[in-house]
Amino acid sequence: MNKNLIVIVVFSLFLFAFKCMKYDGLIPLNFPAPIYNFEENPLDSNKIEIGRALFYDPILSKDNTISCSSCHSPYNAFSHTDHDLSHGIYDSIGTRNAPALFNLAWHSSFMWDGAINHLDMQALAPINHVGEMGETTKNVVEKLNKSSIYPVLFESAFGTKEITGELMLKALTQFLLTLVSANSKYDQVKSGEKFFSSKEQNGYKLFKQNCNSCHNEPLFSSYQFANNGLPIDSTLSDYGRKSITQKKEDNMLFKIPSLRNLSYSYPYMHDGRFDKLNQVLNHYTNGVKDSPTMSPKLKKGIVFSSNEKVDLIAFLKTLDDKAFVFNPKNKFPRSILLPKKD
Amino acid sequence: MMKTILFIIFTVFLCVSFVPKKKRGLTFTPTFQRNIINLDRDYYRYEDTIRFSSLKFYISNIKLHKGKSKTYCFPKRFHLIDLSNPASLRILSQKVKKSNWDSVSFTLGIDSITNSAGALGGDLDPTNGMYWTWQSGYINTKIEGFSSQCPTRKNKFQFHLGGFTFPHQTAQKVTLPYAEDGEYELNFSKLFSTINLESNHTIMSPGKKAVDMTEILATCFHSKL
Repeated sequence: MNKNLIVIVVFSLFLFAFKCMKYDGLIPLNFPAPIYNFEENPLDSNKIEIGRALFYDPILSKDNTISCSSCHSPYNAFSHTDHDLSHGIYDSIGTRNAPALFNLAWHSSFMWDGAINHLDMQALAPINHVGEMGETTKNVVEKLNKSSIYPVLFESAFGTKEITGELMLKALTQFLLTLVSANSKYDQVKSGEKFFSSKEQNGYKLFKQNCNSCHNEPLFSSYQFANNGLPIDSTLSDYGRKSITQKKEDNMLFKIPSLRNLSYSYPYMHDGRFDKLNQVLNHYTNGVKDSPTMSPKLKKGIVFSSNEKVDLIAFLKTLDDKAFVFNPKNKFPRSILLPKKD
Repeated sequence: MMKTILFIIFTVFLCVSFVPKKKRGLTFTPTFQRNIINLDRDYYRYEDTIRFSSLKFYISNIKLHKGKSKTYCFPKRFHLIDLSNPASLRILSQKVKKSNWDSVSFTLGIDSITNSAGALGGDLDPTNGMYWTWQSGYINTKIEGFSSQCPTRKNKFQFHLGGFTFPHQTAQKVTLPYAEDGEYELNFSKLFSTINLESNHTIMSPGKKAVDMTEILATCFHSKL
């Protein structure tokens, strides 16, 4: 009886270890359980490579000029620095700031207003948006089927040359799931490899007192929605989540972004109105505009001295993950998209 | 002589075994003014001339019922019915036995779990043009066309009916008496008699209007007389 129990325990431990091994490094030990169901789209190195090629390939846009990476550059933690609003085909300018892309398996919805409910379906939005890629899903899939690159890749990864919308989206998701950022100085401090400076340590204390209820560790966001008291920009009249749910309690609520990789992903906020972290902190101390939907967590007001702001920013910079931003595995797949001709 | 008889018996046996088993199921025929709808054809009404350019809808979870205990579920769960693809109007299964079924039930539309399940293939593939892109969710019913009554550009009406979140879930359960021939009519005259195209010509997002129109559409299925 006891022997059987031991066998069962050992066997389950082995199974568990095997399960962890499969997604080595993609589910950091200090992270909660991911929301994305990996069982429905099991990761595979060939599929990830197709996803990477699709991500960098402007074939997804109507005039073959814009790729996902046009607005989600690896060096900007997959956002677009220097542009407050996103760009698209024919020099179109959108209405929102392209968000950084990482740790996507932990998001329960996508877009600043949560319009998209599943990572697989996210790419449909920019592909079909007239001001972004201006294509149709059907036409993109036709172009992929006619291309000289993709049918061969899909056959080796999915066992079929026939590319469908489903397979294209699943491949893209596979690459996006590999964009995991969990190797910042903060993470190394948590695992005992490094230590905070006294400024960083004080900043961490201030962070836990004032920011942690929405920008929860270790993802540095609850990925819920909140109105953080930004006055409305009358040139955009963007009411955020309300435009999706049509509920008045969702007026001016936007998805809470992660605070990881802030040095690489400026400007900040859904409309990119702040270029510098200082401006963001000044908003929270002096600029918050009260309204019926404003987050109750901001009602009592936040006070930072100028020294405290310096310390808080020092802490926020420990969330920069250089290894992630410069990871060659995440970059343009030259060997697929621009193979050397002999 | 014996050989000939054997040969005949063998041939008959062969023929019988190759006669395809009768498939049973459902056939949907969209009608307007008691005629089968043809796309891009004019239909004349008292108030306007009306033309359909696209008619597509999802039918899911088809079940046959007998009494309270016996049920047969069709193996394929989701069917995209598209008037421009006549084969899609027939949903057949070889496994349906003749059994004096009482009723048939199905869902007009896609359930909420499937709407949140990520990328799916076949009839649910987003290349079918029945998935919203600016916001997640299937378009359960797409009715597009032209009416001289519509004050829109090119007199176009567009009804994209979907939505799966509370309180605007559009998927509707339909139960009909079982018809032995499996022929069902979807009477669009009945639906359009309830729509004032002068004011209601464009529905492109989830909401009350989409729910209201789908509820009416769900009452437009009839077994063919």
